[in-house]
Amino acid sequence: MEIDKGLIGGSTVLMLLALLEERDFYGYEIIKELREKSENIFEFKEGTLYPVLHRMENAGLVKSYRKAAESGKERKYYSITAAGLKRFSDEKEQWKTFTLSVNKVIGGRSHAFA
Amino acid sequence: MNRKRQTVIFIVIIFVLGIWRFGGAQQIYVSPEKVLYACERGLHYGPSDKVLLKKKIGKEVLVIGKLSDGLSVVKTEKSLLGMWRIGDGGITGKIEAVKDADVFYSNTFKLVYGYSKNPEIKSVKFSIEKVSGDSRNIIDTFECTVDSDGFFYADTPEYEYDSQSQYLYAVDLFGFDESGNLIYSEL
Amino acid sequence: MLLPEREEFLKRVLSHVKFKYDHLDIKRELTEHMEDMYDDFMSHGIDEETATRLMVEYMGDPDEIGERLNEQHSCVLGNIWRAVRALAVIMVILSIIPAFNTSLLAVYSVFSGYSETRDRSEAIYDIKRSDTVRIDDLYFKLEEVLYYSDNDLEIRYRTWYQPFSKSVRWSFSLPSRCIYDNMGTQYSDSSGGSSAGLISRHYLIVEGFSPEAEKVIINYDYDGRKIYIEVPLKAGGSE
Repeated sequence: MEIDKGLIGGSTVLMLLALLEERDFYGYEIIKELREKSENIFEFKEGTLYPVLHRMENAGLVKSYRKAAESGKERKYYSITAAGLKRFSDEKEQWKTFTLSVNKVIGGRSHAFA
Repeated sequence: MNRKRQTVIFIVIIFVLGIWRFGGAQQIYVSPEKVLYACERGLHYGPSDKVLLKKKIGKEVLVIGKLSDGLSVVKTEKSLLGMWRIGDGGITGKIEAVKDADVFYSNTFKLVYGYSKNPEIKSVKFSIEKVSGDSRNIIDTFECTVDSDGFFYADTPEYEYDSQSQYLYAVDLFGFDESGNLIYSEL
Repeated sequence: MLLPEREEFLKRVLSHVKFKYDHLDIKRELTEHMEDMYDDFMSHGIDEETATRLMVEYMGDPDEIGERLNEQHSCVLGNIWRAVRALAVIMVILSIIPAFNTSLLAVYSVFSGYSETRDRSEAIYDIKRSDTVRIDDLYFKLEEVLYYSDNDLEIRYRTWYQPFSKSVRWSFSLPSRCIYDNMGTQYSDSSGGSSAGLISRHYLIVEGFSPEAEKVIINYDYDGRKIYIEVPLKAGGSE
């Protein structure tokens, strides 16, 4: 299922896949993690994370389940699927190629996503 | 698993279970052969060792199966969704092989067919007779080879006759050995 | 912790989501997010009023969130999914309980009665049985044997099909040629009948059945299918 990058910013999906590749997260944790890594894509619009996650779930890239978090409270966790892993590695390749090209054009360093 | 995939899986389950479990109960079956076997089970004979012939005319298929002691003849008809059921107007069912050889005519299927219990009979000859009141006329003759199951058949043309007052029969069956010698006659 | 501002916010978001089935899940997820935010603010020493205000602000525009969520929770797909899921569940359950069905049918058959074929008060004696035999997908159950003063012997039995059986369901009646007595006499003068339905009730009346016979034997043997039942009789009149 193709995600329309124009609508939600393909890099957002890629970043979420990157997080979920490491481990499972629930919504609020994702916000905190991104904030920690100085990625403020959801700044002042934390609620808009959820349409993105739901869209990714509809597309089969992630799946959700409920589990008790560290705090003891139950939360809705998201985990990456096999399809999601594949999409992640494909997109990572594309992104690397893209940034390499950009680098060549503009010269110097660029914050390539690693 | 997301809902799209689940929906597809559910639909598959519904179809598979529907046809497998309930198709039989609704008296519809996946193939004409399955109709044959279901009829045999319902009439408590058989099941046929194999299907000797399937002949299609329009939406109907005549299925003839081989029994240890005769033939199993069932008319089937195409139903909804590509499934099959018993043809209208009843079926022949089991034909017990009481004689050494016999021949039968089906006007609906433009078919003559028969059996031979004697393995020496390698070919047969018979006629189609039209009976009209007291008069009888031979209107066609056939020669067929008998296969290894003791079964023979031939397609017939459309015969002109008044189905209200006239009848067509397969008659005068003769059996021949592989050299062409007459070794069986029903007369 | 029921904060009216939060409820307000959620209500506004959900007002855009047409597929109501998912409201609970969405509400819960957003509520928990806002709870976690609120707790974080509180643990950083922010006062309740500010925390509440920031919580709603930081979530973003409820209309935007609601509309975007609505795009992801299609009514069409959602309702199809629910309907198909329910149907699949029903099919699976129905497919698993044929065994259950058979015993249910057996219980039912015990309780439904016969309509009188012949006035049973005329019978000299009757013998109740419950022999059950299965041939192909059909169950045959002998219920009763009655003997009348005019030497008629009546056999009453039931037949029913195994539920979900795939065979064509023709009615089955015991041919009279199957009735013998213990002295080897085969009886062929008979009359019979049956009622239609899920469970057919049949009767077979054999005429001229010897009063001296000690047993009636039902012997059906055709193409590998057998029904063989011997019923001891009360020879020479009633007890």
